[in-house]
Formats: sequence, structure tokens, C-alpha cells
Amino acid sequence: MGGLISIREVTKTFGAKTEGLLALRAVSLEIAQGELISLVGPSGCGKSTLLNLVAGLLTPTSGEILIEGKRVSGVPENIGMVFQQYSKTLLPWRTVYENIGLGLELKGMRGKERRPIVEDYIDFMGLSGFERKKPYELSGGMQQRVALARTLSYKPSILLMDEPFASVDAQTREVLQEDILRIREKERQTVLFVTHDIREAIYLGDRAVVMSARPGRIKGVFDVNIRRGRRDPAVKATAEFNSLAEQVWGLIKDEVLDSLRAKRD
Amino acid sequence: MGRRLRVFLRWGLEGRLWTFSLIFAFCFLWEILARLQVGSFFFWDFMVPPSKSLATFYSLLTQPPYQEYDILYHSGTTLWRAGVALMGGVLVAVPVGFALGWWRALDAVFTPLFEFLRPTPSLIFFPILILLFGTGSVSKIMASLIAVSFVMVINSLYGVKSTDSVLINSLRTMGASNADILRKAVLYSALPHIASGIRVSIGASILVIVSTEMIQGKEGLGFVIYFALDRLQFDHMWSGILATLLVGAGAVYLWQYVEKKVLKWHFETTARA
Amino acid sequence: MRRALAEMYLTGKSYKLTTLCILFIFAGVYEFASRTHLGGLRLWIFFVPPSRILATFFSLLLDGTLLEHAVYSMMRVGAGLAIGVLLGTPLGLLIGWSRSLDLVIGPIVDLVRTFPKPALFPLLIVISGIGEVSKVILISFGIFFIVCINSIYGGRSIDRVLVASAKVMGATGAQIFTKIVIPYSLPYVSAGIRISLATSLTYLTFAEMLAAERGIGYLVLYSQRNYSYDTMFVGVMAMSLIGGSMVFAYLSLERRFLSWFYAMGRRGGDEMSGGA
Repeated sequence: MGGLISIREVTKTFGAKTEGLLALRAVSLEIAQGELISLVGPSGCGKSTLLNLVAGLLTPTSGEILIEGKRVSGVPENIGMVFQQYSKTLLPWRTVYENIGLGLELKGMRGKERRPIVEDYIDFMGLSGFERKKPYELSGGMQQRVALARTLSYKPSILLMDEPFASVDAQTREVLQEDILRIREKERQTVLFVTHDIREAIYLGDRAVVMSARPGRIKGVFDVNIRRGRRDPAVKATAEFNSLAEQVWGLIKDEVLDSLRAKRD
Repeated sequence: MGRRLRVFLRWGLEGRLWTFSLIFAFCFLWEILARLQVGSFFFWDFMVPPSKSLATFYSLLTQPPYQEYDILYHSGTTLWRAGVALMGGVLVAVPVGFALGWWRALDAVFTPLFEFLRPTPSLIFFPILILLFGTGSVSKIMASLIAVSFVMVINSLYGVKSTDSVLINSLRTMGASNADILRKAVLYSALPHIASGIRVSIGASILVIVSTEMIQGKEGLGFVIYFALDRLQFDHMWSGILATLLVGAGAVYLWQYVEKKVLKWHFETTARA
Repeated sequence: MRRALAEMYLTGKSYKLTTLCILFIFAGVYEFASRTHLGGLRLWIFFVPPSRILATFFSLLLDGTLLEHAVYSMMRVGAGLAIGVLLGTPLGLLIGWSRSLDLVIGPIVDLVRTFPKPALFPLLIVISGIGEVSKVILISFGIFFIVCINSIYGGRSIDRVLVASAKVMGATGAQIFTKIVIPYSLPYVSAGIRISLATSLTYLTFAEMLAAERGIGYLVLYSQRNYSYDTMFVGVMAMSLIGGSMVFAYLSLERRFLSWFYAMGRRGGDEMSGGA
């Protein structure tokens, strides 16, 4: 399937070179195929920027990003991205069915060919019965599921997720987390998962990468693998889980306080 | 019976009942004051009691004495002129607005020019248009077309620019080309703005047409009103004004109805946002 | 987007040069075409070369006639705007703010907005003669509704949660109105005034073309009827300049005093242009 992502000494400045906004400073990370990397950090640390860089929506000011050895310029092939503001990514004038089919539609697949795939993912994401509804008729969690189904439908080998559950209530979040694990059971994509929720990062990730406040750099990488490959929400209550969470929190705590004081822009 | 009453009361409590009562009370007051000739004697010669104007209106609709007072004909004339101007304006302006909204270079160069000319009243061009197109319908339609175009360009421009960048980004990650994004996202995103532009243009178009009809012309509601004034037949003038109100309001409300049906997804989404 | 337009309009980056070039090219082509009667079109009898338009413009300016007409026009517009804004703003704010008033009177304001108000001008002439009063009333009437509608939007836009927190702190109705409603609705009111600037010119031109002996609208129509096409174009140009500069000046003012609004990232209804 191929999904080796290589981030090398990436720096990103927005605006003019000297007085612009330094978002990321010399970030380096190697992501192996099939890994789920959680990216945690305080608000504004640049984790979304990093994700956008991997997706080719932004270009690094210096450094490079390689996917399967090839340099990223523009949006790479076979990438799937899920955003925090799901309602803005779904087309409100299309039904759920038509929205899910959009990914395949853009790749040139005809309606008849799309149908079995779309129906398969509707089923998989628990959206049966909602095919004809419009996005605004669905709850937040369901909308995000539609976005997920759409992203999965064209079987990308890399999944980029930008705080996908931040705008969803806590209970639905747990359900959606299980969804992510289910998805990975089906096809072992390489996933880069950005979140500000430490526990979510530890639960889902094979490795957890901790970032500092702006300008973002990698502060620490934790080998997590707490679930040992299983889907097991109960693991969140174990001592091992909690001690890991404490460690990560200890690393970021000061950064979070720093970012609270920073001016919002 | 009880249920009907409750539905009626809810409709009333929603204010509609009060609104109509207010309007009715106003007309009633007018009628009384006019009949009693309160205050200045001559004032009520022009402020004809509504009942009289309504009667005249009805008679002009059904049996116009001569062509100049054929309200139905003149309403039709004003309407079709405004309609043509509207359609022409939309056809010309929307592509221009799209082009400006999509290509930033075009936007940067032409929009300032555009913005400077926008406050210019299109009526000021009317005399030039009379020279070019004569004193008939065409010059009036052209004047209105200018007005409509300015509105529609701005609205289409805004519509294109307001397409959510998150939406565009998510489409790009799925491998969409610029043409794809335009066809599948931008067009629809711009639709509510274009629709609202059309709503404004309907009013503007009718306004310009009626105005030009008053300045120079032999047909249309504007002409009728002026004609009646010339002959000091005020009840006829009020009939013309009433017809203008019906035409103007009717067109706008009709469009709003269509808008709500076609753009249901937009109103629902923004309502819940 | 309004802010982006305003920024561009007022500061004009490097594209400004291109815009000027395009203007010059256009003027050049027009000059050439009108002097050579390109294509033998009849319209070149009317479409005066820009050089002559400019010459006439300056001569009329210097001998005072242009100024005379302009002053009459501006005074009418000024009076109409003042009256319309002063009456429309508080009323609109009140209506937008009070839910009950909004439900009852709102539809009426909406209805009258769709009505082409020039239709009432003949009535106004009969009531108040063909002097200044009828014109100013027409302009005020037109402006009133636009400002009112926009103020209604402004009144509606006030966050009820904000008001609730003020009430909890013990604010009276009047305090809420002055300290919350007015500042928060200012952007909407300002947008309404900005739009009215353009619309007022429409009503002005109409009134001047129909019943006046002075004013730019009158000037344009009168010169057309008397075959003085130079003057006609000068009038059109003058009106464009007046309109453009009015809006430009207002935008600068708005930018200076309402910069906090733009920084907040909100938008003031730009599409609500009821003018023609």
C-alpha cells in the first residue's frame, strides 16, 4: 500500500520572511507504513499547519516532505483528509449518498460503478437509512461520519485527520474513536492524527508525538501502543494509560500555559 | 373548530394579524379623514379616499376608457421591460462577476474601477441612451440593465469569494481540479448570493423602468401616473400607484418564494449554524 | 469581503498602475475612434471625444455654471440624507431590537421597500410644488427605508446572551440600549448609510430630470434635449465623480472609526444595495 512519510527539517513561516509568523521550526519526523501517529500539542502550536504541509496544501519555507520517497508538491496522490469543521467540507446541496460518492466522482468513476462502493461504506460507517438526507439534517457526529465515509471510499493509503472530533460532543467522540480503529482494522492505512486531547492521542496512537507551543517543534515522541492492536476502551482506565497521560501532560503543561498568554491571531 | 381557532390565533400572534390590522387601520383613518375633508380642503383632492381609488382601479382594470389608462396593458409593459433588463443583466453580469471572483488578478485590476463607478445612478445615462436607442422601450431597458448589472456583478463576485476555503481544501485533497471545484462547489456556493442579488435587482429594475417611463415615454406604469397627474385625475393616479405597488411587491415576493424552495439547503444550513 | 474591497480601494497595491494604464488605453481608443468616426457609426455624433469633454468640463467649472448645478444637487442630497438617516436609524434600531415591533412593523417596512418610490413623486410635486421641498422629501423617503432596514438588521444582530449578562449585572433598558445596542449595531447602520449614498443620487437624478431648473440631473437631460452633447457628457462625468468620491470619502471615514468591526471579522451587508 505504501505510506512512508518523511518530514525533514521543515520550517514554515507565514508572510514576509523576516517579520512573518513562524509556525514551525525544523520539524523532523519519520512515519512508517501502517502507523497511526497522534500529534498532540497546545493550541496554535502548528500541528494543523504541519498536516496541511503533508497534504500539499501549503509548501514549506525550508526543508522537505517526502511521501514514498517522492517530494510533496501540490496535493499528492491517494491522500485522504478529514477536517475539524466537517459541516464546511460536506456539500449542503447534496444528499449523504451524493456526498459520499464525491471522492470517487472526482476520480472519474461513473455512477453505476460508484454505487456498490458507496453503499458499502454507508453500511460500514453506520449511516444506513440516512442516504437521502441532507447534511444539515444530521447531527455533528453523523456528519463527521459522512466525511469519513467519503474520504475512505477511494481507499487512500494515507489519512490525515485535523482534530476531527474537536467539534463533537464527548460521548459521540468515544464512538467515533472506535470508528477510527475499526477503519484501520479493515485497511491498515497510515494515519497522521492531530488532536489536543491527550487521552485520545494515547488511546488511538501507535506513537504519540508531542509538540511545543509556537513556533512548533517536536518536544518528545512516545511509543504508546497501549491497546496492543485491540479495540479496548477499558484500557483508558488502566494505570499504565494514566501514567503515560501524566508524562505527556508534564511535557506540555508549560507550553499550554504559554499559549494561553499568547495573543490570538 | 377549536383547532382552526388555535391555528388562526397562532398566525395572529406571529404578528401577521397585527400587521394587516395596522395597514387596514391606516387606510380606514385615511378614508375617514378624506371623507370628512379634515383640515385643508384641497389636500383631500389629491389624497383621494382609498375606496374611491380602489373603485377607479377596478374599473380601469376591467374597462379602461382609452389606451393610456389601460392599467393591465401598462403593467404588462413595465413588467416585461423590467424582466428583459433583469435577464440581460444577469446573463451579462454573472459571468463577469465570476471571472472577477475567481481570478485575483482581474479582481485587483478591475474591481477598483468598478467600485468607483458603482454609485453612479444609472438614470444619469438615460439621456445618452435615448440618443442611442430612441425614446421607446430599448433605452429604458438599457438603463435598467446597467443598474442590474452593477448589482449582479458585486453579488456574483462575493458569491465566488465566499466559497468556504475549508470546502475547497477538502476537495483538493480528493484530487479535484480547478474546473471540478468551480463546477461542483463554487457555483453552488455562489447561488444564494446570486439569488439575493436577483431579489435586489428586481426592485432596482422596476424602479429604473418606472422612473424612465415618467421622464420620457408613452407607455408603462410610470407614464400612467404622470399622465393622470397632468390631467389632475388623482384617483387614476392612485390607481397607477396601487398597480405599481402590486407589481413591485408581487415580483419580489414571488421571487422570495422561489428562492426558499430552490435554496432550501442554504436556508436550513444557515438557520442551524 | 467588504473589508478586502475597501482595503484595495483605498490603498490600491501594485495593481493600481495596471488599472490606470487600462483607463488610459480606453481613453485613447475612445479618442481615436470618436475623432475618426470609426465604423461610420451614427453614435459618434453623440459620443464626444474625451479631450473635448475634459475641455468643456474645465470651462464650465471655471465659469461657475457647473458649480452652480453641483451645489444645488449636493444640497438636496445632503438634506435628504440627513433627514432620512436621522429618522430612519433610531426607528430601525428600535424595531430590530424589539421582537414584537419587528414582527408587526417589519413586514410593512419590507413592503414599502419593494415599492418604487419615484411613483410617489408626482404626488409630492402636487403637494409641495416643484421646488426643493418635494425633491428633498423624495430623497429622504427613499433613504429612510434603506437606513431603516439596515438598522433593523443591526438591532436584530445584538447577541441576546450579551444582553442577558448585562441584565444580570443590573443594567436598565435604557443603559442596554445606549451601551450595547447602539455600538453593536453601528456597523450595520454605517452600511445602511453607505448604501444610501448611492441610492440618494438615483432619487436626486430622477427628481432633477423630472422637475427642476438646476442640478446635474437637469443639466444632463437639458443638454441632451438641446443637442449640447459636450455638456451632457460633462454632467455624466460630474455625477460619476460626485458619486465615486462620496463613497470613497465615506469608506475612509468608516475605515478609521470602525476598524474594530473589521478586526472582529464580521461583515456588514454589502449586497443589500437597493439603489439603481
